Amino acid sequence: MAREFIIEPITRIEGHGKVTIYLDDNDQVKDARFAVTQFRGFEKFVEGRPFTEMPSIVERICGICPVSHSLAASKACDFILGVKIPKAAAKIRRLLNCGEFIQSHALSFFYLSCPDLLLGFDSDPATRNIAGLISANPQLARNGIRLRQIGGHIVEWLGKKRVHPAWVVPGGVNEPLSSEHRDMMLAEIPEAMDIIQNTLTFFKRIMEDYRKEIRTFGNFPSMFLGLVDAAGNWEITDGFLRFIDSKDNIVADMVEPARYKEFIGEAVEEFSYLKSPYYKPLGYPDGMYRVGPAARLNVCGGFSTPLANLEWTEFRDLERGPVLSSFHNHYARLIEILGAIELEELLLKDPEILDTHIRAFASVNEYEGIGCVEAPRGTLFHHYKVDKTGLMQWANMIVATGNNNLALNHSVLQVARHYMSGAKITESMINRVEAVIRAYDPCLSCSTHAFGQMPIKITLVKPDGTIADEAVRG
Amino acid sequence: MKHFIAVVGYGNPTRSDDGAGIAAAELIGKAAEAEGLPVKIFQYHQLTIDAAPLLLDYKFAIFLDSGINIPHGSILFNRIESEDYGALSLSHHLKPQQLLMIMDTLFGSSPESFLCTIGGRDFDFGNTLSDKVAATLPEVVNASLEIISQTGSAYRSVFVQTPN
Repeated sequence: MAREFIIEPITRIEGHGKVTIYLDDNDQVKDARFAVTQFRGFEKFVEGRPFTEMPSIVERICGICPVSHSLAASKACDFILGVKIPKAAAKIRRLLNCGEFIQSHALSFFYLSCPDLLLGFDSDPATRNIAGLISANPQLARNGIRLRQIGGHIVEWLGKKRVHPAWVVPGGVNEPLSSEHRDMMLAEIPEAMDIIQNTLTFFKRIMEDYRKEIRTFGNFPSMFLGLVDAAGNWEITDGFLRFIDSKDNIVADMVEPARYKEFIGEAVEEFSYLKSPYYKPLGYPDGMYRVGPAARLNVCGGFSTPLANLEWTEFRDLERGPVLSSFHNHYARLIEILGAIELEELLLKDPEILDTHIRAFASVNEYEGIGCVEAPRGTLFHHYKVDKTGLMQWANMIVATGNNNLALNHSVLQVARHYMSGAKITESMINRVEAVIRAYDPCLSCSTHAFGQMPIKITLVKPDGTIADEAVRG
Repeated sequence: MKHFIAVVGYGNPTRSDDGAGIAAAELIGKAAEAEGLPVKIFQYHQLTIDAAPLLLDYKFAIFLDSGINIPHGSILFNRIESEDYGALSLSHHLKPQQLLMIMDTLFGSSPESFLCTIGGRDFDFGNTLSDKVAATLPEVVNASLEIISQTGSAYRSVFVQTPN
């Protein structure tokens, strides 16, 4: 008799999601679904607003990565203005994105995932949280808080606010970087470097303990998508789209993000509010691809900064082709923090960064604009259409987590198959299903930011609707 | 150098009375500045772990929050100390006592602290306080300044001597 398990809510992720696991008549896992159960509606309710408001409005999509949305929105608006933004503006936008990457990746690694990695997936859930981490390794916790603070300082000192800064605007930014803030940021770089290099050493040491998870956490062939610069190197703010297949072949390269619709289709499933984008030439669902830290390291040809490039070489040596296991998003996240700190230093030492010509002004010159950046969780697209007065007529947004939707579902299925034993609900299985989702650091919204044990209810439902088994945690 | 006093207002100013702590902190900041008291104002939607290193430089702190456990429009000052943070299930739900414990555990010290609770009733969407809560804010300011001036007199002299 076919049955299903439901895990809801998923903890230590941003937003509300649930997992349903379907069993066949022999109690073997038949299918699994990761569903996002909340509806945000930004694409619809921005219609009718002046396009110039978009960077500020879409920042409210998220409290963790508002910078990414404001950058993508502003880039789409730059298109509508028909302007090329001043060089200094482009550079400080990049600097802002570095700050976003540092603080968001630090949150994901230290606050959300380290409790699993340091204490073990099978440790007591009552202590497998940030409090347990503080007790077990206060230095690691201090490092996480400090690194997040340093990244947050970049955002705050540029945008006057750490969350939802109204600083990135169509045509550039609304205030230049002061020499005082530049010096304050430069002063924090050595400490940030020290923390991230120590953390990389720590992570590479403990990675050996998780060979089984590496083998089973979203470890399957798929395509990967990410931005690269003109030389094919790691890029997070500008650049071109690159798709590679599971055998490391580049299948689409140097694609202007404005052409995204030629390559990305969007499917909708009835069980989730999250879209399922796919690589159009392969169709749905065969065109599954992944974005995010490991994807970016897979698609790029290296870093243009020396320390991150050295780490990247080591990362790519993990496998012959692309690094397939989603578990390695943790590792990739740390390398990206290192790369972001190196890039931050380069930008801050460029005298042009202090130039006060930071905004281009124009009115509506184009009726359509597309902006694309790498958000910490992956490639982010904002696509707007306006009327001649600049009022928004239509919007389409493909967020990082949406890009990963098909892969998330596949990853949950893989973990469920490995860790479920018959129709028995086990703590071990719940922990790993949650952990594989967490490896993608999905941002379902900014509404809930849980990082500890929350009540989880798992229900085994028979086809006739009666409950066969139930487990409640927390 | 620990010579400042921190006033930490927290809550959601777009949920009516939930913003009472934020509003009170702002008023205390203005009043303290007028009186030359060495006070630094912090305003948060929620107390999170990220606040821990920021409060390290302060010997004394007043946390301001709204609550439903006391009558509408009343205020309650309690001296608070570190409290076990347990499972810390939600970052949004950090109590000031838990924040103090995190500071003690991670950094070895935390400020001597008071918690001021302001009795609210209307927590619906809105950016204005209920009349009773708005009317009680001057009292919150006066009581806070009294605590600050009593506790902070020693710090004020240190502040004058070492302005940086």
